[in-house]
Amino acid sequence: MIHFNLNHFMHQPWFSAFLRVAGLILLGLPVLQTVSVLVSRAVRKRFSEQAAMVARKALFYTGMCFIVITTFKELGFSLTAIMGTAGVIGVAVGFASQTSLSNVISGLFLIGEKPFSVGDLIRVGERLGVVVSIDFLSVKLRTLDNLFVRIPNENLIKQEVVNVTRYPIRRMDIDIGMAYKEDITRVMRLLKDIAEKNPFCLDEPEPLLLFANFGESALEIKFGVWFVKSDFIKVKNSIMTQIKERFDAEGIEIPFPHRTIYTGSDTTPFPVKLSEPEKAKR
Amino acid sequence: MTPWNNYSVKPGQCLNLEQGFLSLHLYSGPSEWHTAVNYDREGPVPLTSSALTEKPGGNEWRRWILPSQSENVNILPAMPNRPLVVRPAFVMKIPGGIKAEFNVGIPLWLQVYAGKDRRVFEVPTEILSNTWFGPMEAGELCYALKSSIHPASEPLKPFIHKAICPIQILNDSKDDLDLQRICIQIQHLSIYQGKDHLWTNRVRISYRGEGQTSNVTIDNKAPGPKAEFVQLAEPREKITGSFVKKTFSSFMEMAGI
Repeated sequence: MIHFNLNHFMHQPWFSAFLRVAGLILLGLPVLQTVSVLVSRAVRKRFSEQAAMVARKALFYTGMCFIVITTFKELGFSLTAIMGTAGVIGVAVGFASQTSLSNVISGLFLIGEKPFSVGDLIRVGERLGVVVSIDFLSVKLRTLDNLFVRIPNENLIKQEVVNVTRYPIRRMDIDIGMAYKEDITRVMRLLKDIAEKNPFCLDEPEPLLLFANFGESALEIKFGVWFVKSDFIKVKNSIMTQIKERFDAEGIEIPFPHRTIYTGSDTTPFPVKLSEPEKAKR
Repeated sequence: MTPWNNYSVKPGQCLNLEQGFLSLHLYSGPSEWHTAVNYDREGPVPLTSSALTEKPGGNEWRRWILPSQSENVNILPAMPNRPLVVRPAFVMKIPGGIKAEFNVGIPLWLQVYAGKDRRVFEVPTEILSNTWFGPMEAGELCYALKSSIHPASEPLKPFIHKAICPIQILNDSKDDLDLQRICIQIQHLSIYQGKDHLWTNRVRISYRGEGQTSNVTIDNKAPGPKAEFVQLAEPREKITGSFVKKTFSSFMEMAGI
């Protein structure tokens, strides 16, 4: 019969260390997670989504480091030796992962400079998407057709990034061509009326009406209407439809590109010879 | 009798309300209200009501599900839900050190309450266009009101579907103030029933110079003797004391010049 002395067992030093480590991990991790979430919520209310995410990650990873270091210490490992080994490994990894390091540094610059925040719609090259997260190595976008795009931070620092939704209002520029025979003043007045009657166009700033150019096939007008950024699709569809309908109703021609060919004199008709149509096959 | 009343609408009946450019239909269904609005009118009308025995067709209806049905609806006036930018028909100048008083007619909204306190919905009596006030990178979305600012000395116009907002502007600077557009924070205004018109609290604006924010104070009382005014509506957002706000802007600023 094996006599198991529970009292003796519980007074072993390794057992109490084991209990401390277990408590640290089993209690510490959930507490750390909860505190991170609560701090994130508080920061989100006061600051921005971006700041909340940075605060949550910073707190969580700092807490994790603390838990890991304390666990090693409780288990009796020498932290000096571990730090030394980590340092050597770090140098080796650093040389091997220069690109990743560059991405991390770029990420810190992006967080500090704040050219965009989580939730902004940005254009990077040909990609247009909503910023889902700004992480240490990359920025994640969700495109408007619901694709996931990961862009390394280094790429973002190097190239032009357009923040489409940075400011609360935007202008939609529409290039309109009208036939040379049309009355420019009348057309501009018409376009101004269209903007005034469109419920999504702002009264102020006033719409832009610019006689841009004498084009090859048409007189070119730039028509810019201001709108609240969330109304983009409504403005685009409504204003384009209204322009077309109104031009049709007023008899204003939008010409397509064309060429006029002269035979040598603009008063002589271009010679046209009719040939007999082919007889229909029976 | 004030038009701001309780109306009894039995199940299966429809109440028709007209004010300003608005025609509003309120139909009482089983445990729900159906509403339809249109703005086909060419000119404004005062608040009138009529009862219909059935639901009129040819409208786009909305349904409001309520936990309990009450036959009584209460119609109350309200201020629009955004600040208002008023552009005077003619540019007016207020020299430095001078105080001027104006009246501005603000188109009302109608709020419909089922029973005593349950607000079903609200709707404007006139559709106002949207405009932006302030710099393009910040600023706020407002309603635009293209109408005359009337000097307080002028006889009052009918203001059929509007509440009169008395504004006092003090040019507390050395330069002339060009009144090209004024932004009024109407969400802080109450509505009072006066003898012949609806009124709001008096707004006092102290202009401190170009580029400076103005000091705005809203009186916490009716614009005249207490006995002559009855409060009909509280402000959407209560405020005590004065606040500093950008109130005036010029065309140059709006154009980003």
